[in-house]
Amino acid sequence: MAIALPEISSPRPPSRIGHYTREAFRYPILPVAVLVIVLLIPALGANWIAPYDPLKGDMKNRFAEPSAQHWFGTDDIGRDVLSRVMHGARVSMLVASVAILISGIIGTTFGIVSAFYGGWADNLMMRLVDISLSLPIIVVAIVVAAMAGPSMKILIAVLVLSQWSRYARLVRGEALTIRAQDYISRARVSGASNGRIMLRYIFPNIVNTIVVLATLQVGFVIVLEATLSFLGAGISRPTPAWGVMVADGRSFVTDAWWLSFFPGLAILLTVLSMNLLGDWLRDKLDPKQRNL
Amino acid sequence: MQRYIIMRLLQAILVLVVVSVIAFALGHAGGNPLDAILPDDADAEVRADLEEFWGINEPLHVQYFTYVGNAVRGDFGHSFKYPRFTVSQLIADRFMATIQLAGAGILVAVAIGLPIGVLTATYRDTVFDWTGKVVALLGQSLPVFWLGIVLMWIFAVQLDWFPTSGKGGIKHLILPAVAIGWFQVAAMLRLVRSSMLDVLDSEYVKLARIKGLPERKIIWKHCLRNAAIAPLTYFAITLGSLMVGSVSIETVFQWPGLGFLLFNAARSSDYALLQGIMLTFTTIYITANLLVDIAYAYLDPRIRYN
Repeated sequence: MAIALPEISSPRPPSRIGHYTREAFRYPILPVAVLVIVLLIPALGANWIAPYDPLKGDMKNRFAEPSAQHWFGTDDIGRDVLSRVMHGARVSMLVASVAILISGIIGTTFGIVSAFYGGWADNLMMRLVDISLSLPIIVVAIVVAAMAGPSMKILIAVLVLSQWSRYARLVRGEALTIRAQDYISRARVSGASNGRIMLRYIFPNIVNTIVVLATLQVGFVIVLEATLSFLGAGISRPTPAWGVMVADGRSFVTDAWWLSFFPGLAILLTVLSMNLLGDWLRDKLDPKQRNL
Repeated sequence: MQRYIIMRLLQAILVLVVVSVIAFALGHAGGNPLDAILPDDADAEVRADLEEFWGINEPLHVQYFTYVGNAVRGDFGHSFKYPRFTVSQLIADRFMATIQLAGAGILVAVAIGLPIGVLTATYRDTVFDWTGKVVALLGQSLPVFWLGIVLMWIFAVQLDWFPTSGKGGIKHLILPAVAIGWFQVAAMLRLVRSSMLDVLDSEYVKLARIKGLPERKIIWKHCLRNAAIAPLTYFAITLGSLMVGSVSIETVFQWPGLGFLLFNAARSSDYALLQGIMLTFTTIYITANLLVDIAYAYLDPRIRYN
């Protein structure tokens, strides 16, 4: 763990701007506010707050520029972009949370079991982790989606495939340290079963690490989901998903910039806030994982 | 060291085998590929001829070993969409375009990331440092395909400085290179910053200061030379992962490289071509990672024994 030493060789004293900005960032108020507005409220309440039906077009009102009626304009078949962005939040949040939950569960189980039993099982399991980490996931995803047809299930499966190993590797490292602690051998002496030791003695001690990693991965998963949807390997039309909306807007970039711009901005704001929140959580909950 | 390299090499081969099985299995998961390209009332004889031509009538494991045997020799068979060409010809044709784009992306990353990295390390807790942090954060958070479209809208559509898409002169290269390099800028910046901080703390920098050398000279000459080695090595060999990452940018700018070819092959269900590109990309990606790992193990002996 790094101990903050006073800067002796610093050529300049810290500036005021730096000081104030740091104070403002002490609590992640801004990121949380952005997340609530851009992701949470639309995802939960799109049905009630979206001004228009995200799937119903109005052919008389195609390519309307952003205005008081249509804040984010309308698309090539006259659908309201703001309503679609709001409904897109739901898709992003659903896919990201399901994918992260499943990869977290698989990866954590894998990591704890691997560390606990050690030996050849550990070796074999970690080779599996290595293999999964060295797959060029975007390429694999495109090929899988092209063969099996894009669907939300396949999208989530691909995301899990790319994510579970990160949890497995990290959890194994932590669990190895914990397994060597005295209280584990004492639990064993007092008659705790292997399963009980893993669940009640090892797992609670790595929950923080898992939560931090999961938060830091949300942004990554959302971008990956959007990238895959953009490439036609994710959510299929006409479901409003941010990545698909950016992709569809690309053909009209000369005439209607708002089609791609707003859904992309939603991705950017969500991911940026998620990353800031993750950094903050890491410093609070798990300061030793600075290099996560 | 030798043992480490051999272990990593074996592992890389294992990954390739796994991917080749996935590629092969996927090609067959969708049923007989001939169904997709032949009309329903196709002549049985034509069908049999085509099955013979593509070897679809053999048992699966024979097909797999034939496929891998040919693939190792660079023969991925014929494309379904463009039957006149072999998959290898199509890939070879697009390969250089992707290398060109990835190389230009690295140039962008170095040109932006290196100076900002130096500035953030030198002037810690100042405007420079905060700018650097914002750049790094945006690098992680911006979806590159969206950045590509925004750049296209600003610089190609509104300002009309560059063409919107396609390949041609240097002008065609700039926007996609900036878009693809942006993500790497953040990585470059962090690497340069941390190695600059190490160097700034070293004895010879203190000596240079005592000698009274101008600060500018100390930073940009003495420190940078030593601090840039690691990041530059890293970048030279991340070319591989950058190539794989180019899929979405090539699609945005319709850059005629491997990524765009993959995108089109997926849309037309050209499974021979898909398998070929998948294996090519995986080989590049794994080789690049292998080189990075070996380079790091060489620089840092602790890795070898872990």
